[in-house]
Amino acid sequence: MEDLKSAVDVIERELIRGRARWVADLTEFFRDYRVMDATFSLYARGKTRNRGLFLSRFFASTVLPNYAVSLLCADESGKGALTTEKIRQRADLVFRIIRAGNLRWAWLIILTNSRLTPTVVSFIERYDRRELGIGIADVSSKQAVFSNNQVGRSIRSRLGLEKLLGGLTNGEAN
Amino acid sequence: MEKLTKIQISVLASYSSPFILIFALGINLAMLDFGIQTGFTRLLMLSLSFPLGFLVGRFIYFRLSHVEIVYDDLSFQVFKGHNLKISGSWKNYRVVSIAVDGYGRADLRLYNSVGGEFVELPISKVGVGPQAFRDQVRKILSSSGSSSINLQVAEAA
Repeated sequence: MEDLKSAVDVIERELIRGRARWVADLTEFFRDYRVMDATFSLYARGKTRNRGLFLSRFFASTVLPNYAVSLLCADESGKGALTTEKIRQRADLVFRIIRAGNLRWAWLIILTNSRLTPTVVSFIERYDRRELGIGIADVSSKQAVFSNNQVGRSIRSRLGLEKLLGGLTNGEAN
Repeated sequence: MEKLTKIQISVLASYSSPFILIFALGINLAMLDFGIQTGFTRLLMLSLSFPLGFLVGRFIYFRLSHVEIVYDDLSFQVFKGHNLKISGSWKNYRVVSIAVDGYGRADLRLYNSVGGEFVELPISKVGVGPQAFRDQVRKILSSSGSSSINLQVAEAA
């Protein structure tokens, strides 16, 4: 459980430092964000348009679209094995947030401390709805899997989730 | 009462530097009048412009821009210079978030409800870690009766 808290802390810290800036400018971070009956350990919201100073601000305002986006991170540790049903429920909640907040897309990161089953891996890898990118990570084994859409792939390429979790073993989280 | 504060070196420098320049010019002109144009005395006299300019800049900085956050388990106050900018009671707030501004500075926002009005505590100006202080504020909020960050997100309902 301590590992998972550290993992969420590390993800949040890196987002505050601007790790996601190439994809989205996340500007506000909530912890233990409760939606209906579910709690997300981390909820970050922002826009796709970066702010920057002079040149980058001019570039952003003239070229980049200003879509509202979000990142939600859920902690599924100590709640039994992660199943496709649990993932589907989380995804449905995020879709409600997307619709209610008029978001263009959202990231959903689910952290667990149980091994990812082949069913879960297959479900995530086949997930291709373009508004929602899903990343699932087993914090203990550092195994991670991402949905096969552009938003999902950016969790690996831009957020570097596997790298962040890898840092936990090296004591970077503390 | 706990106090969070830190001298913002860049702001202090921006207040001091014009006065250092003015003092240097003034001393230079004065030395010309006294006929001191070369040598170690001139260098020594000119170097006085640094402490003098710094003192004036420091005075203005502490009067106008120095930020202090004073808080206990019941309330908080934010001072900027000699003025009280924000004051409030923790029990009036239920939600706390970390907000990052355009320059990457992380401050704390206190909400009664998400999407509503908020108060911003400028923690980036007092040199405290945003996550650590946010966790401390969450503990204060939960113990002050405003309780949990159980947001029923109105827009998602």
